[in-house]
Amino acid sequence: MTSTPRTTGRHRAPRRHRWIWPTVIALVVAVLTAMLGTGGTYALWNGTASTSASTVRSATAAISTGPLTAMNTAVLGPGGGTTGTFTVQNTGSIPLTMRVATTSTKVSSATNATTAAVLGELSLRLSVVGSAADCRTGLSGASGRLATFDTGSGSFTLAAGARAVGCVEMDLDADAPQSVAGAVSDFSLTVTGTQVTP
Amino acid sequence: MSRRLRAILALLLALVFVAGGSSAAWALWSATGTTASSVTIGGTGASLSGTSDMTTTFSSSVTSMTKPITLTNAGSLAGTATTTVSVASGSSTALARAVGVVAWPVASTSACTTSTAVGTGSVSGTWASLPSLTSKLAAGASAVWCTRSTPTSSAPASATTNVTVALTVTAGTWASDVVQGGFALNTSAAAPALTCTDHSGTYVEVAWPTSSRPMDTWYGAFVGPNASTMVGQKEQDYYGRFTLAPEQIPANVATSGPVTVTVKILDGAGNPTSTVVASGTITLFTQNNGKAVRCGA
Repeated sequence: MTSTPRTTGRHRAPRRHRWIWPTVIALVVAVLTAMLGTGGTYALWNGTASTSASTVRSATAAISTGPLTAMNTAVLGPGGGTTGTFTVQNTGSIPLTMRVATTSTKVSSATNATTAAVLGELSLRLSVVGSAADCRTGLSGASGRLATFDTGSGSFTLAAGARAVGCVEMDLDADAPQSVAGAVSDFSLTVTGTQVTP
Repeated sequence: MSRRLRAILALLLALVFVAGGSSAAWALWSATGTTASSVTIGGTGASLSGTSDMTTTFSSSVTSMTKPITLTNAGSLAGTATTTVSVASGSSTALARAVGVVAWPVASTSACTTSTAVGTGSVSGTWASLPSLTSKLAAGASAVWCTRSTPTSSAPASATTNVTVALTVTAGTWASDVVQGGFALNTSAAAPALTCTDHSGTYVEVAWPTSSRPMDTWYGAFVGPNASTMVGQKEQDYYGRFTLAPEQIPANVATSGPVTVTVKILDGAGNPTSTVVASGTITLFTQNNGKAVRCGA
């Protein structure tokens, strides 16, 4: 038996995504063309240089206070005052703002009055003067009762290496009772230098 | 803890760390130093001296008394010394009122003598009422006041007054304790009066009363402060009187006016004793352009 040849083939598989290759080729060509047109290499610029050697040091905060001169060379009477001076120097490397406050008191020889009664009649005033010779009673400055004296921060400012003379005046109230006569009051002042706020 | 909650927590922590880590640390450097001293409160005090040497008996022969009083600021504060005087109760206020006082500051106690003239800054009164002897004194310093007390003719005889001088030193509102010193002023019994006889201004005769003393007892007539200047010749009871011409009264005692004449017994050396036998007053005046004297005040 003979068979008749088929005039048509079997169904061919459908051609899918026939558009991809032309597109890719077109993009490559476009990119190459663009790059050729700009002429750039797209390499990033850079360069190097060296600084000279240096040292970084930390700043220092330090002060030096001198002794307060004797203030009992003159005794206090009602309404009277006596003065003494001390030096303070900024021995650090940064400016400091200063604060002075009483940090201790001791009353002795008060035979007719309590410690509180004696301290309640004594007032302290602090001023900064050009030299010890300029220190006298009646200058203006921060003042308060001896036991609670505190200038607060920012009493005065010292640049690095600068020096100041503090004039301390102690006054007895004009209406102080006679019962405080003969009392001796020892006291300590603490000077605090704080870095000036940057 | 759910997955969602953990995620939220992780996100928050991340935010906190990022935010916190981005800020600077604000701790500031500081340094301290300490200095110390001491003050002394002074006190007041006073002391008084000299009053114990002022006890005196006035008489016809002791007619004034000049003595220093020393005021001392015994405290440690400069102050002002002030005084008051008072008469003790029971003693003669009349005598205190009859003794005149003048006081003035002097440099030292040795500068206060009977011959010292009254100086500047004097105060005057009586021992019953004397203005304050006021001095500004440094701590520990002293002031010397010279006082001269002179009884007046109105001073009662045979009287005693006890005078107290009180001293205070003040410094501001403070005052020292009051310190006191006292002395007694006395007057002797009145001396017998002289018998005086005028002789037309040329001279006077003053006679002392007779007594039981030996007739050869010597007497002298004295004038001036404390009856210390002898005038005329010494006499005995045989004669019993002095004859005094105006020229015999020293000019430094008086040139005119009343002069007190005191008759005292003399010792063997011719010096006056404290025994006054009589006292009286004569008066110098001018007559016919010349010096004259008469009896009485």
